Amino acid sequence: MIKFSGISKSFGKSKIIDNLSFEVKEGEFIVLIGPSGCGKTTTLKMINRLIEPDNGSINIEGVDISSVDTVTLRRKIGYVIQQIGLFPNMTVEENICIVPKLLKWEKEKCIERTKELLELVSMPYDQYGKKYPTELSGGQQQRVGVLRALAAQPPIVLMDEPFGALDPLTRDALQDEVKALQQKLNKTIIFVTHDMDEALKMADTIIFMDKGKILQMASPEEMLRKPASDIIREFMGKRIAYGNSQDLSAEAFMNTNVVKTTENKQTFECLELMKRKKVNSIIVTNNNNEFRGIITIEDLKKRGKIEGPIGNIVNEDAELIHKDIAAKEAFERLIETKRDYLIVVDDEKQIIGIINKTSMVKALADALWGDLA
Amino acid sequence: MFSILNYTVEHLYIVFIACVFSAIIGVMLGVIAYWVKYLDAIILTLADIIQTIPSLALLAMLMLIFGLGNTTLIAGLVLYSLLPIIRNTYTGIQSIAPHIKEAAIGMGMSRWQRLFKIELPLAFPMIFSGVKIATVTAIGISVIGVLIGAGGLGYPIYRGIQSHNPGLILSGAIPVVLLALLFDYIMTLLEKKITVIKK
Amino acid sequence: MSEFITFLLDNQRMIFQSLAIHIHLVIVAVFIGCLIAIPIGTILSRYQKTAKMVLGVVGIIQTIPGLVMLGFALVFFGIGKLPAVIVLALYAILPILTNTYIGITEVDKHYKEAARGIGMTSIQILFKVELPLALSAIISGIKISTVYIISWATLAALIGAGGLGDLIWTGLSTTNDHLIIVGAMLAAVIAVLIGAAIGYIQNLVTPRGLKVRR
Repeated sequence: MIKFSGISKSFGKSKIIDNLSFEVKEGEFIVLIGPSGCGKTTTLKMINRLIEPDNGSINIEGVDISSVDTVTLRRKIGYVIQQIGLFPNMTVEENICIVPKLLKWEKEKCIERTKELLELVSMPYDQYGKKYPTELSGGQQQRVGVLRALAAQPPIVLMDEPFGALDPLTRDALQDEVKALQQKLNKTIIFVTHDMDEALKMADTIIFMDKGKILQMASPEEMLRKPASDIIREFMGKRIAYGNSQDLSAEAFMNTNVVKTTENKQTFECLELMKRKKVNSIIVTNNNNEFRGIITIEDLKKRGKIEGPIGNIVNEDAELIHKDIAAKEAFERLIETKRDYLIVVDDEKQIIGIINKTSMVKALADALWGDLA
Repeated sequence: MFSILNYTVEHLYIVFIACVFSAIIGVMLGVIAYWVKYLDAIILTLADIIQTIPSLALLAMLMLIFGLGNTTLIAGLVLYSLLPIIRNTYTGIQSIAPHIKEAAIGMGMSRWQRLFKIELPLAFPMIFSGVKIATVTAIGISVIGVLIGAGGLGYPIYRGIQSHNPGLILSGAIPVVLLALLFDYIMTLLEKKITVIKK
Repeated sequence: MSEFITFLLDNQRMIFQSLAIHIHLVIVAVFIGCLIAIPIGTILSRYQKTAKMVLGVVGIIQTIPGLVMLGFALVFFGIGKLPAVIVLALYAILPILTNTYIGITEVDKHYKEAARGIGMTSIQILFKVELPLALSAIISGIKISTVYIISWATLAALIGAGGLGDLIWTGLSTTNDHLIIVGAMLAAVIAVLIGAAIGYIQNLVTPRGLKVRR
């Protein structure tokens, strides 16, 4: 689909890209990553010729892009930037329709396309189509930024740290959405980031660059398993961890961030706490931090408004496990009992954490990728 | 040559007097606009409107009150110069970081103490830049004063126009342009200097 | 007071004529100013080094008092409307030129990059992104120009172009207070009204998306 052959680029005396060659297959999600100044953004911008290489050639579907008119080329390649760059003088609809209009699509087709795209990110056209970018949240703006890039159905989309300016929660949601969109629409995406978590999450293939060269081009799994150099290892940091997970106990994977309360708390306080922590069940303890029971939001609702301490209405039906039991066993219990979580206690019967499905996924990932480091 | 020097001195004298008056009045009005919340829009709009009035029209109307001569010109220049000074005083004080003002209040300073010890000194670079704009504008506008019987460099220019004498026009025009550029230059330098000191 | 009203009624034709001439002068001058300044400002935004020089010179020209320029126009082109329009248009160019240039160059470079990246030609970028985003600044320049030109047009009476300046000027030289009041008041009122009207238009053409954050 995209083929770099012997590309070099210097700005002044410093060599930014040094004899770069690689190939991207159709429908692949490629993440370019590396320390700042490694040339990843320059590489990206060469694909839509915002930057021209000094030497070498780039082919898209067998055609040398230097022989294609830049404007024609760019209209076939979606482009998303970190600063979003939605035009503030245009509505959401107008922003999305820019390229289709440049390509002289009919008006109805443009509107149809806008509706369809907004639907993909759950932003109904009737509600958002006529809004201006400043009237949207940062996450919504970048969703529209992504849609604008997809509008004219380009086979290739370039993304230059698109989520860098967003808060972690929004970033996470957008990563999922973009990944899903890419798979659904079968786009080839080239994505620049400096965030390894993002790369591991999104990429089919990660290209790790440093000083204008590729240090490693591999799948996330392989990169975690066999990082090609110390710089990459450093970038991966804590993700390459753990020995043999067979020996690990429940404690190693439990989630220590437990929402709990004491039995003498009032009902409404518990509701407040659930709302604040955004959970639908909490663990109730006595004053010694020993397990008394759990209470779910359904329990509270079923009983209506009851005054008095929570201790009177707790549900004692829960699964407790000791912190030292093997992780494997803990997970088996979790699956067998079909519970949302198991409560981990220590020798003094103190609650120290819970095991839920997230803990399991974490353990699986470590087992899969971590053990050969 | 001697007479041009005389006109230049008179020109500067008129501009100077006008700027002193308008600085005093402008800063006072700026502070009032800052202190009295509902007056700020009124004061700024009025000053804005005054500046919109064509200079000859303003001077002609003032002439009906003050008669022919320098007084009318000075009154007109004062009115014209108010807007930049009021606005810069107002925004200068307004834009002082809230924590500084809070600290001053917390230390038990009175409103006047805050004004003279904190707010005006901190807003001074901006006020000065307002005075600069006012001065440079006044140097240009006072040329028109000749039409209502005031002196200054407008006189040779007007005489030149009447007698179709380009040389005479230039003899007045060149000093005016030079003065405007010179004052702009010097006051910009001073402005930078005080801004640096304040930081 | 009744004396003043009688005066107004007796001279209404002359007064309206002066007003009409004044507005005509201003519109023609500002229109010519726009025609020259907006294209040049746009071109200058592509050549920033040249622009610095040009804007420097423009700044110096702006300090030349209107009376001086009108004086030269009189000496070299003689009496009449044409020399007045030439001088007024020259002055009208300056603020519009500066604002067009600054308006365009201050458009955030991310918008330009996004526009290039999605395949707009430089002409499309100019008309769909840069000029719309600079429009508010350009109109603000037109407003400044217009208010200036209304003011300087009162001086144009000195070189026989007519207008409200004629009333003021005749009033001053014949010590006719009524004439001065009518001329000065009308000049002041149209300056304030037209200034406000352009401000209103400016607000009107600014897309909602640019007004939200203030």
